[in-house]
Amino acid sequence: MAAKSNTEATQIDKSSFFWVGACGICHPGGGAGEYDRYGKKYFDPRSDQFGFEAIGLAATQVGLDGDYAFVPGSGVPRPAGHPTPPAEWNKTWTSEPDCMLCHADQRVLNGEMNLNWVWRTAAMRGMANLKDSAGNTVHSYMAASTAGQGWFDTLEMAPSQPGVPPTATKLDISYRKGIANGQLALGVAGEVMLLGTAVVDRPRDAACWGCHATPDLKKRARTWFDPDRDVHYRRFTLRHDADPSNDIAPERSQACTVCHPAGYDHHIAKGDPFEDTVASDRNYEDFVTCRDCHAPGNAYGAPVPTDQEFHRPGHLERISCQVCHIPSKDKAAQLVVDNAVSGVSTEYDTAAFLSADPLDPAAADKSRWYPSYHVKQDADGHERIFPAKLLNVVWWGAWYHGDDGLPNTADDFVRPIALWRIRAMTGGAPLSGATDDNGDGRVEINRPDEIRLYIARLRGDLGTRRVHPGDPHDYVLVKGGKVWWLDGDGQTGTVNEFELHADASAGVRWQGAKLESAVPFSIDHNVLAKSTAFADCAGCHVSPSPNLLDRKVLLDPFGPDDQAQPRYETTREVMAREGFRFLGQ
Amino acid sequence: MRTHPKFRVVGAVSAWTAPLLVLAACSNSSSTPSSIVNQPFVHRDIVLRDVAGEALTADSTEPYSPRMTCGRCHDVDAIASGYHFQQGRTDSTGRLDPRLLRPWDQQVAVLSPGMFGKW
Repeated sequence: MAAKSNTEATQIDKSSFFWVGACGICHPGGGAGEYDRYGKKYFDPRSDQFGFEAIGLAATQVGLDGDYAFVPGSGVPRPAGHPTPPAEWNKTWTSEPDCMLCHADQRVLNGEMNLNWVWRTAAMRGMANLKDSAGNTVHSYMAASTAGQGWFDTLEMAPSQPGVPPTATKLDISYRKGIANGQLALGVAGEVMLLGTAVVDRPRDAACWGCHATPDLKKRARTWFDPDRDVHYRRFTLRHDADPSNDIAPERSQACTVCHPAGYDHHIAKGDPFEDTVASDRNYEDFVTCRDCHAPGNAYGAPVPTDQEFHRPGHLERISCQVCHIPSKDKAAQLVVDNAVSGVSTEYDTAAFLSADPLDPAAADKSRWYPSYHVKQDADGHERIFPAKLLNVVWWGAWYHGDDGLPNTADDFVRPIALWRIRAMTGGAPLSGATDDNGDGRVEINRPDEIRLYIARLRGDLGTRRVHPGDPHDYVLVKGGKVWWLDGDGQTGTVNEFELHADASAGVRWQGAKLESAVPFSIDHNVLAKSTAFADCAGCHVSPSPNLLDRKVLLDPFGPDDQAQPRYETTREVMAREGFRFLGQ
Repeated sequence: MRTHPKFRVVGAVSAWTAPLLVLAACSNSSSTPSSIVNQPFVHRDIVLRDVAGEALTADSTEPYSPRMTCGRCHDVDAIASGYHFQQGRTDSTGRLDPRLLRPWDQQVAVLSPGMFGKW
């Protein structure tokens, strides 16, 4: 994310304008979609004024302002000198809080795909280039709310690669479409009325899923709308009984808001995911936990666990419900993101490094995979084991040394190098000399001579552009729980390494901010009933223990050997490193 | 044990909607999932308006403005203070995350815990 104030164009990565158009597709407008970091509206069409003008600045004074500069997106090379063109808020206008994104009653689905989300996304991504059929600029950020309801005659989208959200090039708004589909009507004076029947208070699952489908499937292998994969979806859509006539259709389901309700403040109730997220002070506030519903005497009519062998206090005080009731995942999830080879992300899913045998990740059966385990404080104050997917990330950074005067790395930090700068260096392809050592058809940077090659190029390419003027720094590879650095010159220097794992004793645990090569993504959905949960003593109380302590977790996708073989650690080692104390310790 | 927070009434407080709140509150007499997913809801018809607050017609080609349309009854600024809207720009008290204003040479990597500032 670009800083508000910068001194060189090379310092600017994703600016606010880019964020709204590219990332705002999954955010409901308002906040950073409307206001700059001084609290001024980026552009006010009523006064025809930019936010910086409202505080007396001219366009020439905000060329390096992270709110008013624009860096084109992924894959777009920057011209010589790296100038930043201005953000054309005057064409896009702003992204207002999109009430109907969540509160529209009608949902147009194509399978699990929410077409309302697709239409809104396409319009947002049109950015300053969206036109109507007459060639007039369409204010894309503002018009996305209209497009998302399907109120258009024409929405032309440019061809996109699989997995890349669509981008609209042409949009012809038509409120007659809304009249035809029953959301809108004409008033007595010819004004368009949004009918009250088109509005719903509690968002339907499809509204949530529009934004959450892509990241949650990708990061957590989460699925929805499948009664066989989630006992709560089945129950809350009334599919648990023998009467199919009362089943709630997927597009009508409001199951999400049973556990994730919200009041007028719109702080949607949330749990406490491992990954660093917003509003951590509101964790569990109004959130409906497993224990809220399934405790003896609960007011919800939810089944209470009766099997005392498994639900004994010794288990329940240390092990979360999710450990046994989300035993494995049968959808692939993203497990590794390699940003080091070319600056274009290479992604590997779980099938590349895990298997249906939690003790043997190389096994041929890839029909499912088993999560890692981490510890955190639960809603009731107990510290418990929870499942998560540990996402490995490989990236280049600039290593800044701390100033405590001690020969340690405790006060050092590594600033990630923006990927557009890596692409500028590599041309978007592996450097000559980097090879595919593990034979999977994709190049990886793992051997010392490959690391030396890249660091030498980084020193030559970025060093002359002063990544951070005046500061001592060098370039390093962050991979597999280690920082890999070059001691010496690019010809004869030695590649060294040091561990970077978080220090639980210092209270720094999985914050993902200072320096990490892996981030756990909580796995809390797709809860299974007793019949398909872990229900076998020997799955845990055996050595090695596949269901709890000895399953293999990916530590380093590409080891330093000539075959780039992955390195693993056990869940026992992961949790011990995080400070978890096992019984008897 | 907490009661289900859905029983906080969701809706705008105004002369138009107050009777609806009574209706909604009365409907929340049971706390089973079946009753939660079948709560009734009523909203009045409203005029769709553009960014200038002008009523749109069937032939309008301007986008509608949620602020001008919904904001005539609802406190959009209060609603947009919710963390889903802010995505790390502000904290729960509405204050801008100070890291977002740090000059580049004082940054580390993450400017906020949310998507606005995290990447």
